[in-house]
Amino acid sequence: MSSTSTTRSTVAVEARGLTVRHGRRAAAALDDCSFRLPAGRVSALVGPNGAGKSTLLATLAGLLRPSAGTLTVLGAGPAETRERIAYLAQDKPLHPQLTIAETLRMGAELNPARWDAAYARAIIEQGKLAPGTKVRKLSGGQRTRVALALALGKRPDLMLLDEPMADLDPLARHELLGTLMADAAERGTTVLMSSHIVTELADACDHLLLLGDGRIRLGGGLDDLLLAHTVVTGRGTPAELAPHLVVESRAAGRGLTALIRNDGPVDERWQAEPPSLEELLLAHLRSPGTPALITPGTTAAPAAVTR
Amino acid sequence: MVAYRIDRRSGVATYVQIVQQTKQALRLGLLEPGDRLPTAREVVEATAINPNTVLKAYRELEREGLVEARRGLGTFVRRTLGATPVDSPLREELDTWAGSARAAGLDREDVAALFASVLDAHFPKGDQ
Amino acid sequence: MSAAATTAPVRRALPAPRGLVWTVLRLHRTALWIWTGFVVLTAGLLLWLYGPGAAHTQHLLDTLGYAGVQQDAWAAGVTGTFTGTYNDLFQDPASLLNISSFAVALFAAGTLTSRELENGTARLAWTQSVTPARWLAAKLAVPALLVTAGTSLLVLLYRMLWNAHGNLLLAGIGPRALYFAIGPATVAAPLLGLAVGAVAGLALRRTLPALAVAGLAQYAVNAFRANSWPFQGRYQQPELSVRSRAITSTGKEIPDPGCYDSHACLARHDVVGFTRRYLPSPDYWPRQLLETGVLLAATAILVAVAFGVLRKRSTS
Repeated sequence: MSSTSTTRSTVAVEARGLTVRHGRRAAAALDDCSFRLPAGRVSALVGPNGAGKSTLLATLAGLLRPSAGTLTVLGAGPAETRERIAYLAQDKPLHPQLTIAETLRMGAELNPARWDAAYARAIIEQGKLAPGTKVRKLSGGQRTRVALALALGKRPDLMLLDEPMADLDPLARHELLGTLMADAAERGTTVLMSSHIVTELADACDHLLLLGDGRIRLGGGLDDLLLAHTVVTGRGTPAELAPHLVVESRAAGRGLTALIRNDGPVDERWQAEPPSLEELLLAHLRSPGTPALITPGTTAAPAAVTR
Repeated sequence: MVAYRIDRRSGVATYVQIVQQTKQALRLGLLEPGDRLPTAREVVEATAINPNTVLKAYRELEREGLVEARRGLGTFVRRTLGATPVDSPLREELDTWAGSARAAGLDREDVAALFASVLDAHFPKGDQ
Repeated sequence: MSAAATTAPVRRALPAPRGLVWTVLRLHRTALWIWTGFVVLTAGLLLWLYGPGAAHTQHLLDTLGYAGVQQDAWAAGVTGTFTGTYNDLFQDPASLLNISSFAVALFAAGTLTSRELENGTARLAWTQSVTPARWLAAKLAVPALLVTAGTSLLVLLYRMLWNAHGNLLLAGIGPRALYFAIGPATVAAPLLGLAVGAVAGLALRRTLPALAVAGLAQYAVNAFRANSWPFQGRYQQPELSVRSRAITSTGKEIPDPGCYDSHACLARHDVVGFTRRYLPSPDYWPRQLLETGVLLAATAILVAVAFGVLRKRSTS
């Protein structure tokens, strides 16, 4: 699945023990995170509010300094690979006094080595935006489009998007996600985008990082993560589900419904079904004590295989 | 050029939907040998799904021998699926059979179930 | 980086600004217009004072001597408070220059830095191919250059005006303060304001507190400069020597007979004209250079602090 990567390195991001604090005494917003993001993936960064999604993205963008741990982005420190990273902040900051055309000109001036003016302009034209419009007059969706044009015009190898689809209407969401996916298809751009609405990203992403309380709870290819879990229904107690790891179980009539992490095949007497992405995530979020699962391809450094 | 419609609520995996819709297009004659399938870029731009999903579907179609990827050119239809013209003898036979089933007092669901069981017997599942 | 991008066609015009320079100029275009307007209007006032504005007072000096200068300066009470006399208008550019150093400090604290940090556009720049350090360097260098160019022009015009018409000022604190206030230190003062504002903006990162702190800090700087040796104090500076003479019909220079506007008295003393000028003070250059040095050193320290604060806030 990750065969889209060409001659470039196969690893986009590698974090080991990454810890970030906002202020010296504050609690860690990211706490000892270790993971690897394979290149060419479109990864969803999900988790509840305050889980550390924005902190992780800003750190990867080189905007925050880790207080501990090591971080390699595109083969170097994030600050050194600035040119190849694009970052779209949650509130899509743009200069209100500039026109769209001037905003793109700024992109050209500040990225002299990489700027693709025709491409950026095409993204603007797709949205039927007049280049002479002042940014302050744009709607939320139009602003996002301009911000995305600025980010994509740089032709980044790694796109970091913080809640890109929030406050967009469904049509704008679809269009912008389409633009983003087209770029990923064409250039194999690695994308990491956060959202707390999982379903909107389910089709666009093939990789997942689940953050909870500043830690990675799940990490890996979407299919792999889904395959590693099963929803079982039947009569019995959670203890009878051993050796599988019960992530969450709930009473269902006289028996129970549980989401388990498979350890070998599931006993015939349980009715087994593959979980939906939403079920998988909700079960993990409701059970913070569950050990993390990070698939081998997403594990940083040669570490023990958790699966 | 076919346009894929992705139904997020169908429960069918996205890549399977693409495979099915391509086959449907082949059956209906919307695609013929030599036609180019839309590029992954074109599909994802219109549907906002992951590019790898499209590639996976195309690989599946290629594995079934329906399409072939030509390097740098795109993915092209190799052969069509047994499209049955509206006026074929097979259709006439089925038409007669459906008439007799109705005369025998079967309702629509009975006929569908009967047809499905015969279909399963002759065309074992797992073809898709 | 921007230099490498210069285009091939031969053009005589100045190379168009590129990269960060273009960005800073475009983002702060309004401020640029305001500054240009300030410089043009103030320069216009100075040129008027140098040329047509001086005619009437010069005539009074020529005919009545220092009494004419006094008459002109006191005319304000007669003609109304809204029309300043030549003596008053002469002081105005100095006040404007002083205010401009405030304005520069507030601009640096607000629009230039804290507003960008507050609304996230600074991060927008830092995630282009530009390090925060280069961003700040451009943000400081471009305004510094324009401010220096503008104030230098005004200071040169002011000294030219002083040399030509300083003798038309009412003697006292006014000319004394003005003489010591216009020079290289006047150019350095807004640069310190720029640095003060930048530090306030970067450290506080919120517009209103940054504006308040920068305003107070710049006020303190000005207050300190006004009252502390070796700065352009208002009171401690030496008396400025003035040489005032009357000229008789034979061309001989005699002490001013003190006739005020009595033409009969002037005729009696055979006075046909006057000459009056301020003598240069040996204190001027030592004070100016020392003060300029102190201001620039403080500026340098604050600029270093600004980069340090930025480093702490970002990974540069």
